[in-house]
Amino acid sequence: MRQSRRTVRQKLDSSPSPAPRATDAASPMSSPSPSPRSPGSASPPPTPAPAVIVPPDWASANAFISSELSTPVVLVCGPTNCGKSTFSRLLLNSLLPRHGRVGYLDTDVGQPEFSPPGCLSLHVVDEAIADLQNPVLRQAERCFFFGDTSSKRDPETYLNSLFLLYTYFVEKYQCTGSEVLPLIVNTPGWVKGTGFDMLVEMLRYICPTIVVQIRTRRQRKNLPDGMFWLDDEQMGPKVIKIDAACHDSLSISSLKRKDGGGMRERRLVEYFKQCFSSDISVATNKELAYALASLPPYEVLFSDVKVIHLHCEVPRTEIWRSLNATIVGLAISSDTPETAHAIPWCVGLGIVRGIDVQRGLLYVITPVPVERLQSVDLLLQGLILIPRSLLQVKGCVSPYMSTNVRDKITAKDLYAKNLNSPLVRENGKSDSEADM
Amino acid sequence: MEAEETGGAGGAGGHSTGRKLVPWSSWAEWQFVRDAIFSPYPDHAAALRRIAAWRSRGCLPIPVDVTASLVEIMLRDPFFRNGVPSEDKVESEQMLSMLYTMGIMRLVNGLLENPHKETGRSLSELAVTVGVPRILVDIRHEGSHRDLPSLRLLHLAAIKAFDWLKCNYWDSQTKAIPDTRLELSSILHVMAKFMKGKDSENAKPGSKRKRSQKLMSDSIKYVRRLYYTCPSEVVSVLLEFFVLDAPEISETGDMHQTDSLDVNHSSDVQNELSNGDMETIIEKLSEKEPRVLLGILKLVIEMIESLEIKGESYACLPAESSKMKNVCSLVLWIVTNIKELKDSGRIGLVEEIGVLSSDRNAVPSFCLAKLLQKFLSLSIIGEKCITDAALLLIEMADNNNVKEKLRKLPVLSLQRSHKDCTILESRIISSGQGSVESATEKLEMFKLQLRKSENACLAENGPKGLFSASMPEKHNRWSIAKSWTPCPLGMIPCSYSSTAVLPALGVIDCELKDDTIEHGTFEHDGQTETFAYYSQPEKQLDDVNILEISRSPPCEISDLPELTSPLRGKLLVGGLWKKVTEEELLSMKSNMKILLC
Repeated sequence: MRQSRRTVRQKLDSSPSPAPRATDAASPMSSPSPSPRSPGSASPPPTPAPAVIVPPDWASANAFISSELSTPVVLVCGPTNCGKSTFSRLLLNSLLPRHGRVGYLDTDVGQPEFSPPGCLSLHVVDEAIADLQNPVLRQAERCFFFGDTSSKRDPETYLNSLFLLYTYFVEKYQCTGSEVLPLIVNTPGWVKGTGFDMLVEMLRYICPTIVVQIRTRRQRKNLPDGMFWLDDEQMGPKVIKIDAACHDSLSISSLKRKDGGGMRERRLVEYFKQCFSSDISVATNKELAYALASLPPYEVLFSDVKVIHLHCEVPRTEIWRSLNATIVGLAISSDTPETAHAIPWCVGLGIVRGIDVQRGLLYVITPVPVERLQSVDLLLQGLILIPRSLLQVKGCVSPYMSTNVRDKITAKDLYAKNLNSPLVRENGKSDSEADM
Repeated sequence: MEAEETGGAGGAGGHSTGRKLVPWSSWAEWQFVRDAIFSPYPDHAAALRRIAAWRSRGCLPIPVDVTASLVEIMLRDPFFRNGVPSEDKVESEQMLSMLYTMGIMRLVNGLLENPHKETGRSLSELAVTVGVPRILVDIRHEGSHRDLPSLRLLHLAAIKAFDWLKCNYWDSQTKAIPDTRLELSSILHVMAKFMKGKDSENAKPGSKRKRSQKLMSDSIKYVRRLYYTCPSEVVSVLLEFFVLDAPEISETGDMHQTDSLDVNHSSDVQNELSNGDMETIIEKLSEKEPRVLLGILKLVIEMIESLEIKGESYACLPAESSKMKNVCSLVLWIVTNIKELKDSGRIGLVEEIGVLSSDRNAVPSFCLAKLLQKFLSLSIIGEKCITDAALLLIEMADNNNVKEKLRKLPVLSLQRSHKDCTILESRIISSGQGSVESATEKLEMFKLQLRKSENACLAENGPKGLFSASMPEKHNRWSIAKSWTPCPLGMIPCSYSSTAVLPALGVIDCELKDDTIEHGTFEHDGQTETFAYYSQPEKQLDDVNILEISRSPPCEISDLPELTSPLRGKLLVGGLWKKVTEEELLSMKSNMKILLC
């Protein structure tokens, strides 16, 4: 979900649609319960969830897909911030009544629907999504920890993992005949350059029966018309073109990026909240940060786990410095798909919260249940940054949160005179504030 | 120092409030890398290794990133190697040019791209404003849009870029590192001045007295704020202010009231703060922040341990140096204060700290047990102050069972003269040699028996029975850490003081030793807990586990002999204290593990 909650309604309303007003054509779908939002102390929870108003072309696309006689494999694509995730949620809800269960292939490692950031996952959903505007964490059927928030660092591994997930789904849910499930594939919004090439490969491999292309008004951001992934006039699938719900002409790329970062932090915060049973209330980030600091972690011997760095080479002497206070994927070495270059299935994420080198112990916090954890013998380190809000709480500030860091040129430097050392100027102001 | 300073954040060198995620765990680590690159005797390989680790954490600042790249390229460039032969030299000019160009492009873009986007000003304009050498911007332009710049030009540019980074990042960051020591000592001096004038102050009219009281409480508030920002540093600076060395005393030999802390009152004229003043300050501070005491106690114990190691001799009174005496009496003072705080309810003794406990001053009771173990394992346990401190701890634990048992431990109740000790000592050692060996034999027998029963178990139940019954440890790869105390992410709790410790993160490996030993915070646990491992720290005080040593299988003891010798390096075997070597202890330790499971 890429729109902020408050703006959805305005955007939907203001979209100059040639069709009659949205409310006339489609029944307003409201999210019945405003889900407990992430507790960012900075952002006050927007209280009443505004109703999602479904544009008419979205509604008819949905109606069309759910009336398909065969079991559809639907791929939703389009540029960033056009409503792919929201449409996928609507589609999932409308497919559920007929099929009972729906497969959901989550391929956006930056903003996954049901998993924490950095994961590629396959879900089988049997429960309608109540909150159409916010992603909710759910247990994955199968998951890979890709370890970065964009596929750009390693497209090959990304596509391989994705194909493995798809193959798994096909073998389990589309061949046996006993139970054939529809599949929704939500794709990343990276549709230019390498991102486009990867989307093409994805489309060619998956061969969806329906492709939903969401288009914004900014033509050059959109994907090409037609079946752009096919070379000649092969028999392609049905392509449904719909307009983005928000015609946002003011989308500033930098603004969106910040949104993404903040959202990832909130998702991780949500994820690690699961370490606590529901009767413990960790409402604010501060409470969660302190609760995580005091939670007795799991301990595991160095000799019982192997550390794998997914995207960097780390000298052997430095592994503990690399690992301390970072997020890792937990995986089982014996549970690896039997293909070349496959990374093992991931059972969940953890925080390496401390390392006792003398005793040879790693301390790990994770919501993965302890029975499941016993077979975990791999720690996959990616580049998923630990949320800063979890590292600083009064009296319990992590050593990795430092004051007086001078590593950027700031606005002050640019307007101050007589500069010899521009990185020094800023004093007392938080760098992290500027980042947020 | 001006009084105003107490309220506001210090200027240069002071702490700013904003925090940023960095890949290093302390400024010391950052300085290690800086020195490995820029000092007269650099260790480039070590710096590059460390930066590689930082890079893998995903938040490496651009200036560090580019510095590392430039160092790495220069190391492979024959031009900078000055004919020093090296195996991984890059001879191709074309390749070197590409490398330098890319490094410089990343520097210029990494630094100026954001300001460029924000202000819309051109890169060269911005470069002039912030003092980035123009040649770097030109190389970025040439490299991306035109011919690859010549290697001759790039050498020049690389030197300029390197110098710019040194001056504008490394040096300026060095200046900006908050100096806790300076801040804290300045505030302590303010307090010292105030306390000096206190006696006359009492006679002054109320308004003035009020003002100085306010000054005092403001100062305490300021120290507290510092303590929140960097607890370990504040604690160590506070300890430094105690005059502990006092070498003159022992030399002149005219001081005999060694038990009293007042010893140092007159000893250091230069120092504004007497130990008494420091005690007042710490008492005030610990009313608000009781954990300060635990932090200081931990450091003091470490100090004792290092003194012990320095002393090497485990004679009856290793505490001969005045320093050791001062340190020991400080231990007693701290423990007395902890007890007072506990009695007044400022420190709560709890079974276990809940995940959401709002009481940050709660201390889990297992910490007391561990602390007591620690005291008992110190070789200077015979020292009166330490003994008294241990007794206080026992009292605090408020457990009659343990109290009685521990009182039986002669070291805690008896003070021997020097002479007696030496006699005892020699007796033990002479009579002890043989029985150590017999104890080892006994252990072997136990081991054999255990194996037999294991085999029997295997025969009866098959492999499954063995798996579930006799190897539970192996099965549970992951277990929940026992006796945990809250500590920030990235740190671990100290094994006995319930304070957070930044762990040493070097890989322990004989081959790698040279790479990993460097400055930083080390926990001196491994070397000193020779006795602690007989007991299982996770058990609570109501267990007699502190005396586990006397119940452990290899030594069948009926009663404890009257002894006051230092325990270190000795083992109670067959009712006698025997001197044992580290190796013997280690082998027993490994055997013990088998026995205990």
